[in-house]
Amino acid sequence: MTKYVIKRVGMMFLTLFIIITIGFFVLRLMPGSPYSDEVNLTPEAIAALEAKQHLDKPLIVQYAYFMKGVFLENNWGVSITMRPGMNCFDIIKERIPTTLALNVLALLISIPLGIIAGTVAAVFKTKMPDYVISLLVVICISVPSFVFASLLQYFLAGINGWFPLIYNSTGNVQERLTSMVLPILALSFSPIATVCRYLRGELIETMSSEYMLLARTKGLKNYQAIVRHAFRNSMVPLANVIIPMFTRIMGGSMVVEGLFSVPGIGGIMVDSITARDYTLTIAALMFYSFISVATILLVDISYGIIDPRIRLEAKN
Amino acid sequence: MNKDTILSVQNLTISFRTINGMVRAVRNISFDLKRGETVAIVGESGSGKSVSIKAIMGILAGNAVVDDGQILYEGKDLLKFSEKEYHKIRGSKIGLIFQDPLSALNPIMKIGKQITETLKLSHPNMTKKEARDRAIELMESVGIPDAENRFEQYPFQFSGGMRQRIVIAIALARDPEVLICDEPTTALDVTVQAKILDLINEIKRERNLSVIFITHDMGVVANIADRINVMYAGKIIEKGTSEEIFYEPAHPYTQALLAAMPDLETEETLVSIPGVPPNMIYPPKGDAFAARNKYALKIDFEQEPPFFKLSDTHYAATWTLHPNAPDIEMPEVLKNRINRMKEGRA
Repeated sequence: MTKYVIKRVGMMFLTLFIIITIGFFVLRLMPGSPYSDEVNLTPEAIAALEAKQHLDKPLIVQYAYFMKGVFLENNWGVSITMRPGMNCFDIIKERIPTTLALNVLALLISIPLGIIAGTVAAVFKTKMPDYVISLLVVICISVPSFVFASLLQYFLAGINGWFPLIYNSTGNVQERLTSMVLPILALSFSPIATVCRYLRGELIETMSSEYMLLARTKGLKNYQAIVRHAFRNSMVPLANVIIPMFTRIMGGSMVVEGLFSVPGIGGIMVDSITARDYTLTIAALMFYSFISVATILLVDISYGIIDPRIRLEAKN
Repeated sequence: MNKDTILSVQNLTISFRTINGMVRAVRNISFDLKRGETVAIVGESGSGKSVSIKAIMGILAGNAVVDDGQILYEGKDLLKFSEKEYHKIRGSKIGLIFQDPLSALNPIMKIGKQITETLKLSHPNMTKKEARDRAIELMESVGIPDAENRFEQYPFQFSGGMRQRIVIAIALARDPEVLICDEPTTALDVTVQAKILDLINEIKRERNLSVIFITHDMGVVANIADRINVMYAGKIIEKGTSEEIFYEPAHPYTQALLAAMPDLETEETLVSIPGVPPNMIYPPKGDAFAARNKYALKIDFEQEPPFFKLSDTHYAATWTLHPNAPDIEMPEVLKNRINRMKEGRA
């Protein structure tokens, strides 16, 4: 198991290296320079600023500087335009808690709701509850989270005023949580539907398995058989869906954070791209990449925890 | 109903709703199971054997419809039972052994847990320790060596034969009176088959169980059954004691089945039954086997044959037994074989 984990972690860092390399070159392919919007600066001043950031050098040299900073000096560079001079890593760091709180909460409420909906749909297969849930699932999966965000803002915040329109970052804990309800909801619809759809399929398959028949013939009631025998077996493939889903929620939160003015990394990512703040974009990209590779690592390890067949085989 | 009869299936008729129409899976079958005896139901795949026993266990698939009949267990009709009433006899009075032990056990639950879980259904107040001891006892009684350690293992660490022993242990855990074996040896290789059959015979004697044994393998039946029902296309077409079925098969299908048994003692090529079973959405009008029977008479295609009585215990539904029917010689291969079997027994 240890050897397996070490190998996985090695692969994870290789993946991250490839992502920042590609990210670096793709960003520089965008037309314009960080200072092209600065109408008040003389061309000489802009040239001087660019020279300071090594932006006047060939791309490959810039890449070498960047890599040297990241790997040898543990320096992600300073923000170019958004908060000039401030260390990118620090900007990201102060925003991590907000973003993580938002996304983790969205994931945490999605899983139980998705499991409940999926179980109901599977137990009432091809009956009314199943059809209703399936319809909702289709809607929740096909409509992007920012549309839900706008609708929630309009109906629950705008018309009814039950929740604040935007995130309240200065209030006390309760105020902050209340203002987080709408973005969390907006982010949850799609994961709930995803969990529900997968669990329904898995449960229906396990419920028609031989060992479920055995469970019934040995005298378990239908619900006992489902809870004790079908459920855990259906969870094995579901782990493969739930954990990477976190990455998808994070993706959705990039836009949703902006809509609700949540001071998180999603907002930074979007804004820094439009401002051509290369270093900051890469730092944010790095954060997102790290999260998604880490979730993949988690999936691989979680398989071993849930399924004894994998756990014991790895031991031998 | 006879007092000795523990389970009696009467005129059971079951269909399945499918997109293409109603599939007539079981057509008007009746048989009795007496205390302490083994009744075999023999027939090829799709002849309705498994459907009948699923009906007895009350675990028919959702699209199954019981059109007619009764399943009397100790005089009460199981088909009229509510799920709650069924719950009282399923597992505790009637146990079931599955065809495929590889998929019948929950792959991610420890063997021990799967047995103790069953024990606790009958004895809710059993302590963990008691349940464990009882489970290990059960495992030993079905021939699992090193049961103490095996208790903590998962199904994938067991061989096919050992898994079938576990399935048997689970079926026995609640001391049922009736044990239904649904092709318990089909998924196992031949040497293991023999051992499992011995085990079933042994536990049957020890516990005075009544056994319904489902199989498509005539060779398996010979060693285990007191009485045999031969099914074809959802109907029982011949019933009798083991001796009667093996030595005096009357229905052409039974004869064909016996002739098709692989035989190691002769050099004959393996006999097979020509054709395929009928599509049960449109069950044939007369004798369902007529289309595959080279001796079929005109009436075989037109009218369903009734049971003709050969002895008090032996009945066969075939027009060849009608007084007006021409005498048909049994195939030579089969005659020789029956003679050899008789000699072997003598």
